[in-house]
Amino acid sequence: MVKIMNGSIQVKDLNVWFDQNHALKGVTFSIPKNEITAIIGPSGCGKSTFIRCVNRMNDIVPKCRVEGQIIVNGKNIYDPDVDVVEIRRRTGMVFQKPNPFPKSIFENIAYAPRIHRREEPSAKQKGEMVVKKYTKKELENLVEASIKRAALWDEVKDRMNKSAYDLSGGQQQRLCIARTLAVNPEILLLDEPCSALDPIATAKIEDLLVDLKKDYTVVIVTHNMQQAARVADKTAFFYLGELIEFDKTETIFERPKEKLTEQYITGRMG
Amino acid sequence: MATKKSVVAKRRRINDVLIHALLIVISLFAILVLAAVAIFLFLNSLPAFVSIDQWDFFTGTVWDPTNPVEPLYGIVPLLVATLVVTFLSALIAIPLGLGATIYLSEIAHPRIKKVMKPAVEVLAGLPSVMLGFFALTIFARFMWTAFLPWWQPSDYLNLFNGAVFLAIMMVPIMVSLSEDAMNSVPMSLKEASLALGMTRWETVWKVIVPAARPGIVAAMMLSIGRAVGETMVVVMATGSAPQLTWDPFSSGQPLTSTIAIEISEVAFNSTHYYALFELGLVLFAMTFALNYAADWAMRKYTERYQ
Amino acid sequence: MNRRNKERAFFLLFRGCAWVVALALMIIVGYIVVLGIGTISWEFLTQFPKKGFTEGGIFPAIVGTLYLVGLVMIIAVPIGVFTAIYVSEYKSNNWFGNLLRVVVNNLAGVPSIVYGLLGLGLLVFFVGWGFSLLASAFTLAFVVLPLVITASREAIQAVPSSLREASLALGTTKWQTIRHHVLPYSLPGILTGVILSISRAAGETAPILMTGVVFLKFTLPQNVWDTFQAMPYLLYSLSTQTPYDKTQDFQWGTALVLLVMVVAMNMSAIIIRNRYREKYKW
Repeated sequence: MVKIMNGSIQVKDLNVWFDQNHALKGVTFSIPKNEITAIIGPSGCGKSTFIRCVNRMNDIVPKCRVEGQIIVNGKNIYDPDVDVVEIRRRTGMVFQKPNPFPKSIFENIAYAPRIHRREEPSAKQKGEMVVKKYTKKELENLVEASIKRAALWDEVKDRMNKSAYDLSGGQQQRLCIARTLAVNPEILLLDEPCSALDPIATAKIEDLLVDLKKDYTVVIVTHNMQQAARVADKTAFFYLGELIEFDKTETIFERPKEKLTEQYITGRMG
Repeated sequence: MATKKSVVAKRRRINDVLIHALLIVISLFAILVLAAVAIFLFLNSLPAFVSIDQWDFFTGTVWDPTNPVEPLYGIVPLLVATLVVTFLSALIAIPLGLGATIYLSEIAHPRIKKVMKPAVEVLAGLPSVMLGFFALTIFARFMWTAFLPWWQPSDYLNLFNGAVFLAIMMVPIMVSLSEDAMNSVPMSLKEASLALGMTRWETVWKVIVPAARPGIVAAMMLSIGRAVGETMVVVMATGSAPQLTWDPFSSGQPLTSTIAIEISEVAFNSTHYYALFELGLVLFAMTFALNYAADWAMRKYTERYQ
Repeated sequence: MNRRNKERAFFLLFRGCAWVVALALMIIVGYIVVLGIGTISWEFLTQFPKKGFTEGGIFPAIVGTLYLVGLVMIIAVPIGVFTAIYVSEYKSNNWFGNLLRVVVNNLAGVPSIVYGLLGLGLLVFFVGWGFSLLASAFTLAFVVLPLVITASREAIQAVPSSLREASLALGTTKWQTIRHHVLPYSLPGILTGVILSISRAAGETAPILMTGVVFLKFTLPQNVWDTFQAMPYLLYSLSTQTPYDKTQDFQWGTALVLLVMVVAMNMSAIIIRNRYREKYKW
């Protein structure tokens, strides 16, 4: 797999409304590249809304209005001339409940790369990227590499053609991670990826994320504070649509600067 | 084959926009059809509005358009026939359908259910001409001779025959819609009632059915709409005498039947021809109103369970 | 009467209702099968009627019905499925989407004879197609369109949105998501709706009565502008316009052929739907 440029994310004054409900209020901070950043906060504080802005999944929600900027690699993803489909390819998302396609394991991973095809620098025109179809062998290699990177290969290598629905919850979730890795993203967004999984599966995924941060920027929404403390380099605390505090994880959990943060961490609210 | 990435992206965007536009254009067809029905019926009734006195049309008690001396276009006999046949069929189909529904959804053993539900669906699929045929050949004869020493219907083909077979067409509609309504009643209500020591019958009759009432009302409206609009069964079973009568055992000619029978005999562009279109307009208005009532009942039904 | 007895009585009554309905079906089907089976023969299915429907067969009516139904499907299925896709998948909180929803609901309630009038006035006369297979096919397509749209829409909406989101998050376009994920999994449901529509189209009489079907012709329809024969109309005409004692064999035979066609289609639709429910337990 081609080693890709990692992306940092700068959020500038992000405001989101669902009809009249002001869900995110003036959020501003920078997510560093090649680190795991956790987003924590009580239910309804806007964590999921925020993460869905980063890959513009909120576009498909009716009556959703977004103002402000999210800058990835120097470009604001909300600029009118930006290709949404391309944004979503470069920003992989893993959802709360594993959602593999009702296809074989192989097909689950191969689906998106087959449509996007692969990019290489053009031989003819400098600075332009060219799109080429994958050969069958290249596709097989890509699928294998993705599954290996998601720490799932040993468990599925003998049943690549079986239905993805036969896998356990934790395996399905790793499959979903492999699926997003196959399209070569720079950023990985995970929306409470372990909330439907048992502790052992959760541990496997947490280890995987720590490994993945070498090559990707990882943003994980979690309602489990211990999880944030375990894996995240930086943590952002949201409350009622506002970013209350963003700092190194140790700082947030041991010497929080804001009173609200301290109350949440110590369990006095949320 | 390698293509420039920017070209691919642009092509993809154009593709999506084109498809979106194509889908909108195709969807227009449905709107055009309904509009065409309303507009055309109206336009083709205009000549009738002009050449037939509308007061006489709606209050006249004789329908005799082919009378060489004085053609008469009173729709009262037709409306009365429609009313009688619909009323009778509803009288039969609604209790029957509701009873069958309660049986199927609350009482029946799963194995019986497995057989009966497809049976109801097969019943729903029987063409109306087939039911009309059966009414005409077997049922009419049965009614004519079965009670003989004591009583006989006034006419061989009569409104009652039509009503019975209309009821057979209405029952599957009643059953499937009422069943949906009853299944949507939350389990918690049922459990609360049983936990209070009510019998299953009391739970069904006093808790579930009232809770499902909007859906059941919608089912009734739609079934009645079906009865009003059904053609072949009434054409074949009720006889073709547009007489004004309230006797269900005499022949009658409901609205649909009139249109179907007389349309093949009219001259294009004659007053009679346009009068039939005006009948169509009346029919359309009636079923539209019933549909609207059903829709309103359904909306009340979904409101309850939000 | 104490409560237990009351329950027993009413439940017996309800069971009676269900059995009355089942009995009605059995009697009707029973008569048609018993009285019609004697007439069915290779000859009956492949020959033209002769001697005033006392000899020969109903071949032209069978062929006419098949042509008609084929045409109706070609018209109604693409339009119906694509309309259902639009209504379910594209943002429709605007005036167009709401109008479309109201329209589809009302189309289903229009009596088939009203569509017949439309077909007669608009297609036969105004547009000038004359009494023809094409006019009848379009008229029947109007009747059947709401069924196709509703069944397709339900099948499409049954596909869980988590699959759509997964596909979109991978960076595919809306249409790619629909083509590769939504449509394939809603196909069985759509198919069920299509089969039920075919069954309906095969049995309808009023719309075709006014737009192109004839009682007796000695040739098969040569093209779409030609008139044609069809089984439902044949049954209607035979039973209302010919003497029973002469043509009863043909009448019951036709009824049986029609019954078999319709029941076969309905049963296959039910089977497909049940197997599909088993397969895609989301």
